[in-house]
Amino acid sequence: MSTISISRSDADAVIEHARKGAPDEVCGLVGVRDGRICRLTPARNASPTPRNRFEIDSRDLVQVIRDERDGLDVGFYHSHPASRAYPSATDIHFAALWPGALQLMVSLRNDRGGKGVPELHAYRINGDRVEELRLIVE
Amino acid sequence: MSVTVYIPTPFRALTGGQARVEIDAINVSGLLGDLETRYPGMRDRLRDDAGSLHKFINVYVNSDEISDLEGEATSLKGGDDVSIIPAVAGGDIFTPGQIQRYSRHLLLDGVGPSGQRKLMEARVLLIGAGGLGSPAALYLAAAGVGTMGIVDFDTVDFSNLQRQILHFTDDVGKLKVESAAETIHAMNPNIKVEAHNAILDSSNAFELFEKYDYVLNGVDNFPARYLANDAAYLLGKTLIDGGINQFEGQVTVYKPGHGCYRCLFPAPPPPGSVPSCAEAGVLGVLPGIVGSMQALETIKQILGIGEPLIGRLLLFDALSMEFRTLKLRRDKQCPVCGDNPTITELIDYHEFCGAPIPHELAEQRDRVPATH
Repeated sequence: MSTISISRSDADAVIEHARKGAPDEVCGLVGVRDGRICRLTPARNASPTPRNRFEIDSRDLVQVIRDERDGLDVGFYHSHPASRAYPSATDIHFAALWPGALQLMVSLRNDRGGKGVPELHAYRINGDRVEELRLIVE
Repeated sequence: MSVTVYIPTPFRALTGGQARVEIDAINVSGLLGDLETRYPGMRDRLRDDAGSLHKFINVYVNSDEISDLEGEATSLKGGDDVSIIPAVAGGDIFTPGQIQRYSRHLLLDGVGPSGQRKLMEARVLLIGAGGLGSPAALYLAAAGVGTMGIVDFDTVDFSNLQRQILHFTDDVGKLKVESAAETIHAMNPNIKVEAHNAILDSSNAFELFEKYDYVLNGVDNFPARYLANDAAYLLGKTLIDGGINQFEGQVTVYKPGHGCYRCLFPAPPPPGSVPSCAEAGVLGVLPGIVGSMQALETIKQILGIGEPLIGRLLLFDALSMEFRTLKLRRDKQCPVCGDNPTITELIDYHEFCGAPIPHELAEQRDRVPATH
């Protein structure tokens, strides 16, 4: 299993973003260098039905260019407020636009409003193939 | 004039790995055309069959998406940066509210997320919002069956309230389909109710049945029972049938090819020989049990689980609290589903059953069947 690492503060920031946005899904971009998530950019969710859809607002998507210009690999994150942190059929469908990109997912299904346990997982999706990465929070 | 085009990682296989290309163009349309000519395969990534830009492709001039500018007519000047960025989207199967509401289904082997999805996408027609249709509609709504059609011409009467649990005291006088829709929405606002305020007859049965995956029969008279049977068979629809009489009920599922109501009862009883609920009375809870079993069989059909009541007639005696099951077989001589059918289209069921035509039906002939 390949590994990817994230700082504690970035992991907390993703989880906090998800909590603030719940029950809607939240989304954002991540920049990756040498197997480490080193930039986090929260984005607006432009979906008209955000309870179970996300679409990174096109105004925020330009961050892709900045991340690449800075030599980072582009990845993304989004939340599942009530179900597990695993790509849904819809997630897999849209991941085809960004094959192999890092997909960080946070689930609040056991978070109990911040008193429970949030879940954070990382994947790469190529076609129908979902590869989970070992996520190291350090 | 030369502009720089940013090619996103997913498209770089087309540009030989190049992240930036220089193109001379006066506007976005010309630039994209040049890109499409230069890189075979680019057109399919950018445009649909009609030639429009895919809605999941964002094109930016400097930092502005072209839909906020002048679309493909947006003009370019030397030194502009153009970026093509595919959308980033996704989403869960269910909303948090749906996950909570259907959690006991989502946990259950045999239903789970894919089964719940099937229920939410299912379309069921209920004939009658009365004794059988009431519990059936409530349980189907609670289970999340996405679309329910209800056909009924009647208004709510005080005498209905003893068993027709879709209707409450305040509903007396309302159209049954309206009262039913209100109760269903109070139970589960996610359900789409299609109210058909009409008498089911030979002129509208096909049109109504066609729109639904399954038909749940809650009729209270023989002409409608034969009509529902024939229309469902002729359209290839599975009919989830139920009947009640005083203290006894019966349930079965007629799936085309496995027998139908006419295999069991080729001809109706003589008019007046079998009294209706209105004439003979019915125990209040009984339709609740039978209609709930119809809902259960409908859900099993939608999910494709268990052993359906196809080819079996379940009889229930409320007084002895006994269930019996009779085997049903397709009758090769059946006039509808037999080897040499004589009924291949809908007939006049009132004449067939020797029953007088209700005056409501005569009235309805003068107007277009209401479907809203």
